[in-house]
Amino acid sequence: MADTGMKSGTEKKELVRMWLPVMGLVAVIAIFGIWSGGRIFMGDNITTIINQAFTTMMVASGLAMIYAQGGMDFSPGGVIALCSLTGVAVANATGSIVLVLPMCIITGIGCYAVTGIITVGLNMNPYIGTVSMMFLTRGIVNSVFNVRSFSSINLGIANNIWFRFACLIVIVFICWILFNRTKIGRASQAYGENQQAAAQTGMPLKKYRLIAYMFGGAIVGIATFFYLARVGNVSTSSGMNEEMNVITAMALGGMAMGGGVRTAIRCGVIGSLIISLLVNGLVVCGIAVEWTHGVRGLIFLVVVAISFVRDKGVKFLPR
Amino acid sequence: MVKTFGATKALRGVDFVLNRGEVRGLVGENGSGKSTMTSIIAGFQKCDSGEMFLEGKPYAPANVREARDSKVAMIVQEIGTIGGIGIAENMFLGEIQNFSRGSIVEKKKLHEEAKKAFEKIGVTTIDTSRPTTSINLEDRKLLEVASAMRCDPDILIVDETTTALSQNGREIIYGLMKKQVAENKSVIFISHDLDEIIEVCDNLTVLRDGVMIGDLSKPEFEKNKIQNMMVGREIKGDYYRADYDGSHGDRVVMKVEHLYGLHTLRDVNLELHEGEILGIGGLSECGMHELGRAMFGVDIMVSGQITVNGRKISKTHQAAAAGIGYVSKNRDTESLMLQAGIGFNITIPSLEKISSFGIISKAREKQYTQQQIDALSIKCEGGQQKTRALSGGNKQKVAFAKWLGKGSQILVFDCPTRGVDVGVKAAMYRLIEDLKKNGHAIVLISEELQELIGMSDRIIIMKNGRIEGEHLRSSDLSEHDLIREMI
Repeated sequence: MADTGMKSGTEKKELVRMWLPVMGLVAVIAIFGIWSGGRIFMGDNITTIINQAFTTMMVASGLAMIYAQGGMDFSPGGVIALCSLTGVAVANATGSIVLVLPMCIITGIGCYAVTGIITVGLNMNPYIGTVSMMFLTRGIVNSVFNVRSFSSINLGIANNIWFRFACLIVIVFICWILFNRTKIGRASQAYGENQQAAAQTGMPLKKYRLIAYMFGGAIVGIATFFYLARVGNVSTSSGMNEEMNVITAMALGGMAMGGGVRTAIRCGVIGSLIISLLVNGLVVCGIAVEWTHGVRGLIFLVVVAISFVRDKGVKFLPR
Repeated sequence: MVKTFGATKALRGVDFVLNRGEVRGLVGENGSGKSTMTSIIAGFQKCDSGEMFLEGKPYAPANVREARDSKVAMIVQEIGTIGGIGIAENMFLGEIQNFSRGSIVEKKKLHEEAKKAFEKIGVTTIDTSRPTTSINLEDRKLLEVASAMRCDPDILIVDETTTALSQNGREIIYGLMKKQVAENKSVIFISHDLDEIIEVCDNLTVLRDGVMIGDLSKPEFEKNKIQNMMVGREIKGDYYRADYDGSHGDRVVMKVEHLYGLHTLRDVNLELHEGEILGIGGLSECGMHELGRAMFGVDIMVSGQITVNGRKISKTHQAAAAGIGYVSKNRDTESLMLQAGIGFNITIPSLEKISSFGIISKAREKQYTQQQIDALSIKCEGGQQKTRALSGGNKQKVAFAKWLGKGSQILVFDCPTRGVDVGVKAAMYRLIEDLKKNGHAIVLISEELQELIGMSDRIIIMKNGRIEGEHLRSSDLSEHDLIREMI
């Protein structure tokens, strides 16, 4: 495209916003590729990287509309634990794995419907609803483990890497369609961009926003199913730290934390890949696993700092 | 002087001379470069090329404070104060250190100085210790005025400030301008209101598309001549509707019954007919804006009801579904999402039109957007362009296009021509006329009486939340008749 005109400051900033995360991803691949002498590209390791990014990428894609509304979600870790619990419980009780996926999805939708009603219906700060949900779900899981235990399950084909990979692509694509090409996605972006203007579009905002929450819950449920396939059982540490992974991935991917029209599905996808590559690269290069937690914390800090610079005037924390 | 924003050339080689002791008006259509030029003079931004001289010496302020040190101050068009902090703090923003002992701010001194600054412009009613959000927009504007006047400017730039002010506030600004002239200092005055310009200015510079078109001195002022210079073509005599035929369809499309609002509305009853332009006028706080919001279900009402074809309207989605479209008087904050593309804004109320099975088709979205851009001749680079890059008039067209494209039969326009230049204004009036002919029912809420008289089939005047009077279209109707009922 012939673009001879000069770009204004804001346009430049927007280009930076779009391409910085991609450049970050390329940089991470290049650095660890060279450092590890190409070992991170070995067949088995690629599988590991995808498996590590899997849950975060799927959950981040599912929750993108909530982030577009200007919300931030602290509950996915807890919800994954609760979905794991109900999923494993139904498998143990019926002796069959047929009901695991539906059970996970229903539990996810239920949890996010509650958060959605608190946030959308009661018009509360999204922080409150999701933090309560985090404590609520963790609380339930811990109490249940006080009185009984569960046996492992085997989810068969869901453990096949190609099947997992195909499902991940399909789910992310569905999220992309919903985010960009439906009223629900547009309403979410509009709401995050400008609440008053969104109200004056004449869309049933509350309904659409609530659907966006419930959709997010369904995707968390599906992500839990694949998580269970890999982990095989539920424990009190199921889904631990997943909320921080998702938030970090979003920020790394360049998500506008105030929500609005500059949010995108690609943010969570790119961000989760960067995290996974970083952590995996460090391990492959011989850095102790314990250190990777510290690195994650550091990345989070740097990313937030950069987001602040990029979003001058936009609050980092949700409204 | 040249200034470019992206592909848009806002200023291309403007020469401008300001003499001591004059009030120089600056007029031009939206996007002609008025605000750009004055903001360069006041140090808000720099020019790409060209130079400025102040009293014969080269002058190139790097920022607002440097400009103020050179005794050049500007009162901006937009809100220039910060909501979350105190009034006095706003006034001394950036120079708080002058009021500090160590790292402690001397609040008392701060408030005293702020009070003095207000007294200087003749305002004594504002308590400087209150938070800025607690005072209304008009007082916030006065706060900016007081802040600008503190440096005893030799050059005072007033950029469309008076439109936000009531008569009282305007008098204060006019008084300050007279004082400037009396002290052999100067004023640059920007306004869309030509009557005001003609009244207060000594000389006039007309800008068009970033180029200076001409200078006029007071004896040469003539409204038609100025308008022609601004738009570069003849504005026909029938700026408003030429006919005095106030007839319309008989079918009642909207009914307002015993409506009481949370703020001002008191027992409002009215009927709107097919093909009717219903003008609603009054003072700004008379409840007419609230009534407009109520018609689209934006505000909660205490009692009474609004019905369209028997269906009750109390939420915005019910209103939109019933075929009502609404353009708020606060276009930039309520009607449009400025960061979003033009297409995003235009399509958002009508997504089902461009979707199959709930999924939006990109091709149909593009086509639909282009149709609306063409229909209203919106000047833009295409549907993907950010809405914020458009001029005021074109933004307003986008807000119109939202509802016209949807096919809304009832259109509520709250101050549709506010901050819009004469060219677009005339186009809006033709559009409203065409809508009437096509059977649309239009509610035209306006603070400009000329506009109401010129366009409406029927005018309702409101006062203190009640309907005070009703007038049918007639050539005898004068502003005077309406004003009497308003106050």
